[in-house]
Amino acid sequence: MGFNKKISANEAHRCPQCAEPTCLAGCPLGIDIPGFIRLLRDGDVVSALERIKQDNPFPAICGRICPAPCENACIFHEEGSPIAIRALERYAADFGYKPHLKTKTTLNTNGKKVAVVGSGPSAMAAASVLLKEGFAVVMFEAANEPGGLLRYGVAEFRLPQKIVEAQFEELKSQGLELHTNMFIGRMKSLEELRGAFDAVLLAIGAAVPDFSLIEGENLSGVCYAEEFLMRLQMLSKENVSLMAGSLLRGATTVVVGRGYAAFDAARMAIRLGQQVHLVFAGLEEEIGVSSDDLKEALEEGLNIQAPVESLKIVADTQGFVAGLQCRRMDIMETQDGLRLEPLKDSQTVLEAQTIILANGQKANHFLAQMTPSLKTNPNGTVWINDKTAMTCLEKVFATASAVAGPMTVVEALASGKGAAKQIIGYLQQ
Amino acid sequence: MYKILHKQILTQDIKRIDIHAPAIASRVAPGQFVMATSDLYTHPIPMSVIDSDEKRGMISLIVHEIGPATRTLGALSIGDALLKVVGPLGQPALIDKFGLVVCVATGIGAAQILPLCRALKKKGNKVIGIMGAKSKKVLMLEAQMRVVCDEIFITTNDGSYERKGLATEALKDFLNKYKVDCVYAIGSVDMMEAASAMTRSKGIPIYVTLNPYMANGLGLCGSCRVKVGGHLQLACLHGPQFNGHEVDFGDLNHRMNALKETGWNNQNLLVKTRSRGLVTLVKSLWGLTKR
Repeated sequence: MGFNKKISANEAHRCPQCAEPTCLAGCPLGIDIPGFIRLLRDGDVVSALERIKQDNPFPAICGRICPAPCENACIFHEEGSPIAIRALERYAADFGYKPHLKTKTTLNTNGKKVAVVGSGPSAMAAASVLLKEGFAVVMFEAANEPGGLLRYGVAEFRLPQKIVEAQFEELKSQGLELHTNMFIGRMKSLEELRGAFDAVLLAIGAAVPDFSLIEGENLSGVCYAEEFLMRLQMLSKENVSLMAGSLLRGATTVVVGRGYAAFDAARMAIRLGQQVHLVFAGLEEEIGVSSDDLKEALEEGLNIQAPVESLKIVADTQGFVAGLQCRRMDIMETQDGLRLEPLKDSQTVLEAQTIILANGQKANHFLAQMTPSLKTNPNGTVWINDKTAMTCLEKVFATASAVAGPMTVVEALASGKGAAKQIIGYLQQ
Repeated sequence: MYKILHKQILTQDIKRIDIHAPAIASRVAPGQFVMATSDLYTHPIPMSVIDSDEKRGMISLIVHEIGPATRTLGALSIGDALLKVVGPLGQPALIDKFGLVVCVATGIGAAQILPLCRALKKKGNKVIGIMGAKSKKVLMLEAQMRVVCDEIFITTNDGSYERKGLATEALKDFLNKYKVDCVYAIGSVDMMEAASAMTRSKGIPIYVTLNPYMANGLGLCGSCRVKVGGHLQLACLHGPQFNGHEVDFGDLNHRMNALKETGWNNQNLLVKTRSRGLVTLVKSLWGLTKR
């Protein structure tokens, strides 16, 4: 839930304004956190938003779904009550935005054109930086709607789609040209883009599900969290209540995995009337979501089974899911110290009619497969020069998220910004 | 955008629509498909491109009305436009000079095999077509196949046309009589499995085209994963054509049933398709005058 005026003012007053702020080190984007909190304390929401926007072009998104590494770096974190920086950012973004005060940007002042492939968080950040510098930016998105993972991989209740749409409206007002339904590599080759633009940025991100090799993963009734969320997000608003229920079989769902994809899928399944167990082979501290989100999920009735190792998916006679065979784990003393070891004789079958696998994501390697001239890393992702962010092809750059693999939304924004700065440096030479 | 130029009702529930999409028509290769969405309320459906005309910027699709999305698409008339068509997607099919090639298709597979037959014939192969259907009523694209193939065998399950029996029986007879160099099979999972088993014992290469569920066709959801040669492959990116000897058909059967029981494809959508008999008539007449 977002803060109201009174709560946010109280929270801002709680910030001690440290002489050497530790929260700054936590933010990959380098937002001036004490600065905007000071402005919020004085009640100047508009200036606070402006201060945030100097470093983070999309505070409305970050204020909702950022895992808030800054709060972990806050000096109050050890006491258990860090300053709610994420919620304050959201408050500033929601209430400080005054459309009539929008700064007018001069469009395409330097006459150079940059193509951005992808429209996820890293692409959005890169486009925002490039537009501010006066480049003409053309964005190519393969899906029907822009936003990438923000559109198709985050549940509606955590990030409403109108927020993402509003960000794109803002980018468009700054001069962004957006082409959806354009799958680069198939409908247009990278070579064609290279010929038509001064620079090409591959912001293809890391949203490809990592296919697990758990036994029985292809049974009917097993889906990946990415597929489940995407099918829900693709439904029109009129048909959500009609169709969504038919995505899940039976009354019990087991979600296997950790992180936000698993939590989003599990909480959506709860909202669709399922009893949901989340099975995770690790300690509850390693579950990969912020404590606020964990608390909300538990309040909604999520049953977390951890640490439990999932062994295989059990099928019924028709080839549909009957349950998940798993066994409990516990911390044990071994020769190399403390480790999680499976308990003997603890194998059970957790009955379920639907199983959602959330193994995490990996970097997008499809474009590299479709373009043989691109040099690739051993794992199939695009190779880039670490200093210049340029791939082996001249004029073609790639964001760090497309190379290194999955990142949190704030890290993806930072990677897009970094790549955009490299492009600016290259084009202004 | 994506205006429907022609429409033809082939058999019951099966329609052929020609769409104006110059960007796709100039690029598409045999074996590739597009994801088509008719309106805002339905999800995209993968459909093979059976024909393309680069000069007129036109592609032809076969719509099999089995669910709400395909029914909405089938209800569109000439002059209406589709919301979006993304493509061409998938790998182009392997087309080479083999010699004697047998193309087996059952049901809606006939639509997918037609462009392959054309391309194989163009390469200089001798193409034998084997078509299977439930009855004469639902047999489609027979004339087109007769034009392309050197020889054609037709089987119907109820014996209402030509030979009574399954397509695999005709294939078996042919394989026993002649030395075949390559087999292409598209259709039901059972047929492809049987054809793969037949050719495996004789050492003939077989290529099958799979049609699992797809959510967006961009490789981002894993809905169309199939086990090929012990690895997980995505039909939308690495396929849809695979080596038939490597495909795990038992596994594919599970995937084909994935959303069947929940009725994902059979829900009646809130937005009903209008009955527009008169409008369709007027529009089709208007279309005729334009030709």
